[in-house]
Amino acid sequence: MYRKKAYASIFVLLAIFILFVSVPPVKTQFVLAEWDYPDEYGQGIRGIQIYENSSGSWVQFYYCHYDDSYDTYDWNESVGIKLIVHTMLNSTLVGAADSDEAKLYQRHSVTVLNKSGAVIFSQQNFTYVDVNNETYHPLWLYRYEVIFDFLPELMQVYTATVIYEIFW
Amino acid sequence: MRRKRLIILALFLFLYIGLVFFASSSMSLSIAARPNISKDFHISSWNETIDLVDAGDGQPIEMDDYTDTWAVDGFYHWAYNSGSGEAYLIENITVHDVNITGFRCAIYAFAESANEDADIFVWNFDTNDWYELGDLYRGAVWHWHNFTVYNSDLLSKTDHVVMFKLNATDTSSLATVNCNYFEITWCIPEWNFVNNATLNFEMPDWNTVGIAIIIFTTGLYLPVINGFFIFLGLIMIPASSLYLVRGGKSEMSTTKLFYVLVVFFIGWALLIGGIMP
Repeated sequence: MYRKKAYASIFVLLAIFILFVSVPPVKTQFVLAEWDYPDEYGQGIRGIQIYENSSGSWVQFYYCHYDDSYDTYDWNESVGIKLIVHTMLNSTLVGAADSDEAKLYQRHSVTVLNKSGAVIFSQQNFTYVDVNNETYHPLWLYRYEVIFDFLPELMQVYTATVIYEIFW
Repeated sequence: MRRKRLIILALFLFLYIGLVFFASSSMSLSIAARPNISKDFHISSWNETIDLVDAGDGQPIEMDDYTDTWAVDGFYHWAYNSGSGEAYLIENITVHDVNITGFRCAIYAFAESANEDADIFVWNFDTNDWYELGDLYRGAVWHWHNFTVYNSDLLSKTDHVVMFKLNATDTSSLATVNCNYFEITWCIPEWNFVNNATLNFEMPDWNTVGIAIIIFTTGLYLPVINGFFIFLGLIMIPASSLYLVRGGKSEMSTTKLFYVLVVFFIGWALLIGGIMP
């Protein structure tokens, strides 16, 4: 009788173990916090488009906007990641003759650290995508992209720091 | 007794399905950003063009013939040593978002040669020509010059491009002019010359205006785990069902029935949980 109870207890514990193992260990969440935009001249990072490459082509799965509220979002693991950074540049402040010249007055950088603090990706001078120099004049909206050259590993934490600088 | 077991099984089943619903993926993404950082500015850009031309042959004077450095206090130190002719130091200063009603500038220059003649000009947008603000005194003394210029074109703009030229001519040899102090005082509506508000020359520099921190967090690779659960479910469901239908060789005890039912429901829970995204 005691043996049966012991078996039953082991079985219940096993069932509970299976139940908890089957639950993903990390809750999916998307947190957007303390994104103050713009600065006193209207400049800064206005938004970031996040792309994934799970099907062989880049697909946007979220656009982080500066006035987004706290939100949650899911994404696929082990896929390539691309960021398209939206930045605002005050053309009057910089004094560039045109939007092409203004490219010289701005630069971007990103550094990605893993959970142990090691740098696994770093890049400066993102690839220029396009510019909108009419809608927000005298602010010019630039889009630059950067592609991470690594695939996310399982059970890992990646901290990507994007910095936007303007020369004036 | 059997009802209690069934209730426990049902609770396990609901718990499992609820947890599967609750955690639908294995990755998370969070973004944090810091406030933009900027600094005060007055003169947004300082585009320097030095045009040293020998009046004799019209060729640019070699770099060795002059030196220019920024003083510690930010003012411009300029000197040249030309054999003869005319040399220019042109400063293009762009000022934005300031309504200027006038300005004045001061130059503190030193001419070593008695034959030296150094003049300072400002570009007149009305006449599209250089406007001479004044002459530097000749001789080996320091001079302070104040000029007040009201340019109607400046008044009509909020973005100003002001060009200054320091012109030195000398017919003798080895003339040298040192311009160690060059100050411009702008007069904007909020200020006036009485207040003598001075905008310092501020060299442009890289300013960090935005930082965004994105945190990607990855979990377990769900397809493998889900596939394993589906596999278990596909084994446990038919096995337990078959056992229930056939009932074993002898009469089934309540304990056996309990275990078989547990396997049956767990199998379905694994199958459903594995299929669900």
